[in-house]
Amino acid sequence: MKRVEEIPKEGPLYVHLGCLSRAMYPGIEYSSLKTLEMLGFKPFSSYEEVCCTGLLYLSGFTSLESLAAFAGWNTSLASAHSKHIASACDTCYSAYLEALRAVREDSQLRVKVEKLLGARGVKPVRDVQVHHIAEIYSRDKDRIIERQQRSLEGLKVAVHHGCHYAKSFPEKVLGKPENVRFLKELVGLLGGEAVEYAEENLCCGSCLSVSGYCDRETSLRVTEAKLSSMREAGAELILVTCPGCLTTFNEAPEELKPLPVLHVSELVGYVLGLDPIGELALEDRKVRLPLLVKG
Amino acid sequence: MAGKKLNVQKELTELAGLAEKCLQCGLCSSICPPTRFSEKGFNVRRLSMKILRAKAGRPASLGEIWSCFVCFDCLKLCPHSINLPEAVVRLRRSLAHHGEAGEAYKGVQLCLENMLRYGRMVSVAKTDVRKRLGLRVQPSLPEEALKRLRLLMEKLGFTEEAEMWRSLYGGGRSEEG
Repeated sequence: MKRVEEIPKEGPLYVHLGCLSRAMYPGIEYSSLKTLEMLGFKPFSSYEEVCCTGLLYLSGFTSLESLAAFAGWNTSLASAHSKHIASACDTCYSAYLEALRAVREDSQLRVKVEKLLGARGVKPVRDVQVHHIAEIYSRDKDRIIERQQRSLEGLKVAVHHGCHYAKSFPEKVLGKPENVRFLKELVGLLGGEAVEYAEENLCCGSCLSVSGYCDRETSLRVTEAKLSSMREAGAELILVTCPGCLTTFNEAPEELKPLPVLHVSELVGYVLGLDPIGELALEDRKVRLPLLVKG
Repeated sequence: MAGKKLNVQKELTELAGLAEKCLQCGLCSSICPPTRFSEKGFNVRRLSMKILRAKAGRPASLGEIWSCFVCFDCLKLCPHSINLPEAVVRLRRSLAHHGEAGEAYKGVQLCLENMLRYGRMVSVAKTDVRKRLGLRVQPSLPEEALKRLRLLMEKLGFTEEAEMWRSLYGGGRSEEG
């Protein structure tokens, strides 16, 4: 059975939002919680959520031990009501999986981290299951369709699955890791057209988004190639699962001819009838979204 | 943990085991974004070879280690599932401990300082939008939780290590703009 199938169809479900959504995209925070509620869950999040520090870990500036401790802190927030976590961010999702793998495989690290957390009144949970919120939308597509208020008809969408979902733990991906398709199917079922484009597998250019610790010129060229490939396929909108990728595309310089971009929670919120401005705050996006024009 | 610096050669020796299976088939470089798009000649297959041969002695330069996007494309294609991104992360960490991560540090400095101060890597808040959406206006950690978190960061050595980064790379506690 796929891990996502194990989530109860209703009841409490912890939503991990991540730093970027909390800080820069209130519409992702709102729609992640609201859409899951509309689908029958009792979603909850916590302002005690700390940064996963995935970016600091991957750049070499923090230890696996700290990564595991911060993940442990966050699992304790979920555990009172749910053993399932739905992450709205690919990098946070990957950081959880890396941390859980570390405490599973290294008993010394586990004991140390649990002791440090315990002294701060935090009880981490090891048997928690971490999912991406996009996986839940895919599993519950029938419920989305039942409640669908708006169609994506006439909209050509370029789907981009972030690397830290699709590639860092390929064995955990929903469907075939070599060709992640589930969001394309969802777009189609909701009336839109998910275009096939040559650079579907390519990274968004990542390092531009938050920190810029990589070579900026290379990052820009990657983003340019990605955008160019999407445009060639006729895409009018980019659909992402990660606020980091969203930032890369949203903040792309004018000369790269950026396309409008939406997070999967926002897209589901839109089709379920949430107000694009009053509830999703989509007017905030740098490139105007076709959804706002088409109503 | 901070206090004890990681040993670059020790890391390289351990990583040589990880890369030993590498056939130099080049599938990784066929897909790797910085290999495809960098104009500085980065090649992930050559990086793998460098790490493989570094058991006996440290290569003259490991600067290209910072070009990796850690996107895991190479792992996806590698016929032997060699986790090169993991090797890159470990090497970055030991090199950073020895003052060899100046440019990269500039990129993460604000994230580190924000983590220490707020428990989040990004800490701005779109208060007007949040208010309109009916969300809590300030999404920050409650003060009591932040106090516990800061103690945890101290015990983890996270705080001490941040001090080490400052002394190695300069820069004080910057404010978010």
